[in-house]
Amino acid sequence: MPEPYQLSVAEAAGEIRSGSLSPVELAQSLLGRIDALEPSLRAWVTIDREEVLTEAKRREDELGQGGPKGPIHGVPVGLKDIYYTAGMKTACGSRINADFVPDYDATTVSRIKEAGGVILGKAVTTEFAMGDPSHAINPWNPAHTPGGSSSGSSVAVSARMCAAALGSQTGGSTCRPAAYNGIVGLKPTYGRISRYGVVPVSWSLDTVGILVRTVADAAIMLQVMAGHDPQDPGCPDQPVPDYLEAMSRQDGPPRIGLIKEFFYDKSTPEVRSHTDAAVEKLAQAGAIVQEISLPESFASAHSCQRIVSNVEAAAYHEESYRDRADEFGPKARSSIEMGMLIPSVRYVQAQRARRQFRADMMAMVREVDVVLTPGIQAPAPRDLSTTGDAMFQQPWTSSGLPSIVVPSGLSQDGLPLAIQLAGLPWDEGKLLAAAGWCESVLGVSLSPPDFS
Amino acid sequence: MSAKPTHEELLRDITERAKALWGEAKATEMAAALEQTAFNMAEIDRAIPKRDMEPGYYQ
Repeated sequence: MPEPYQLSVAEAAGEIRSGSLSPVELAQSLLGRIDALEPSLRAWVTIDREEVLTEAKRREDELGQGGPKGPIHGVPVGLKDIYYTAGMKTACGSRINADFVPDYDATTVSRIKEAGGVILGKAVTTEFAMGDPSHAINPWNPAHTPGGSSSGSSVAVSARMCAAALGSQTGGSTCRPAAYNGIVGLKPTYGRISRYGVVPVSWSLDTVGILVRTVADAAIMLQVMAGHDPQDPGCPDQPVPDYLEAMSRQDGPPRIGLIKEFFYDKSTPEVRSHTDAAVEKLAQAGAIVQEISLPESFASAHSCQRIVSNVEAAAYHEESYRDRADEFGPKARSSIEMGMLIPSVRYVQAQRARRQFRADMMAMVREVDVVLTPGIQAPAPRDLSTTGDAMFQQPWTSSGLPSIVVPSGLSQDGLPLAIQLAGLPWDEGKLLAAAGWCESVLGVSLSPPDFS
Repeated sequence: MSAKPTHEELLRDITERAKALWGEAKATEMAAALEQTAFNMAEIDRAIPKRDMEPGYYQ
């Protein structure tokens, strides 16, 4: 019988529903795990133990009174410290927001609570989810970056301090740290999950991200949070299917479009051969793999992402920058300053090019069920002055297409590697089904050896 | 500037803006970031879609 802290979301929720595990036992187990590991990993900013245990007890009482409220009843969830939590600090890893206490919950936080979840605490983020590294430690090797910006959320899930945590992605901030830490990261379609009450980097790029250890858990968390929110102008009224049901409907191996162009060119030889081996395994299990080409508009995709991100960040932070520029970290400050310098016409041209790029990427993905690339160009860099390179994630963020990284093995240095899959907008069901199939064929589930 | 500004023109333009906002010394300090931004803008200029394509702010 595993310790409760080792359970996935699906396992923990199942045991709670069946009565073999109480929400309080689970919360205590996770808090004990955090107590043991936090000095080494520094993944958390704020944890209100009393509140966590009070909420867990409330969930326990609710089970006796009317049954589970939803699919994650009694399961604690971590939040990147950019999510508004009523009465709990949302410091965004910054000096500027150090004492900011929101008076309402982000829509995502409300939906987690409505589904029976327990908010475990706030996880470390890079400053305002931008480029300055955080102090979180990579559990696979402390000399290597854990990635960012959702660094604490990724570390916490990898080290079994929680089964699920929220991140966010403007460039590569969910899927890259997920890959570096050996876990599953899902960046849904732009607008699939409300960002109301999430401190922005860039309104037209920001996407709520999900960090978990299995594809099924990604489906469960997406189910809990997906759907229209009138408070978020980028979150339209699109139907929300049953994602677990969509996964179970996967009646055979998927048609996979392998993108070697750019992604192989930028990868290390080790990542290239590792990805080839993973693809070969998928093909042997029946996947139809065909190599596909990127559209011409891909050439400017990274530039569009940077221009748009910098300008929108400058707009959001303009007032703080004017009064407190010296309190921003160097990379955040540089992004804001670049955003202030970019002429308005160049920003609009970037947005127009993005629209063309999105259309072209959709046409490319329509040729297959999902496309596949290496998840990262190399394992987490041995450099704590960086959060790594988001170049493999930016195209999906910029085009708004959903993407997911799934662990695929370890490098020669013992660091996690991953594959990345992407699908069509609003079709996370098909993406999750294919990702679940790949996860099952690859059979890789990673746990950092020093913290197992 | 010509119809499609060159990388050099874009770099000169934002460098002048940086100098006007924060002074010569800071603009010099920002040289690498300014270079990168000018590169990004020039790259986008090579990919601008047809004239009737609107931006899709909330795709």
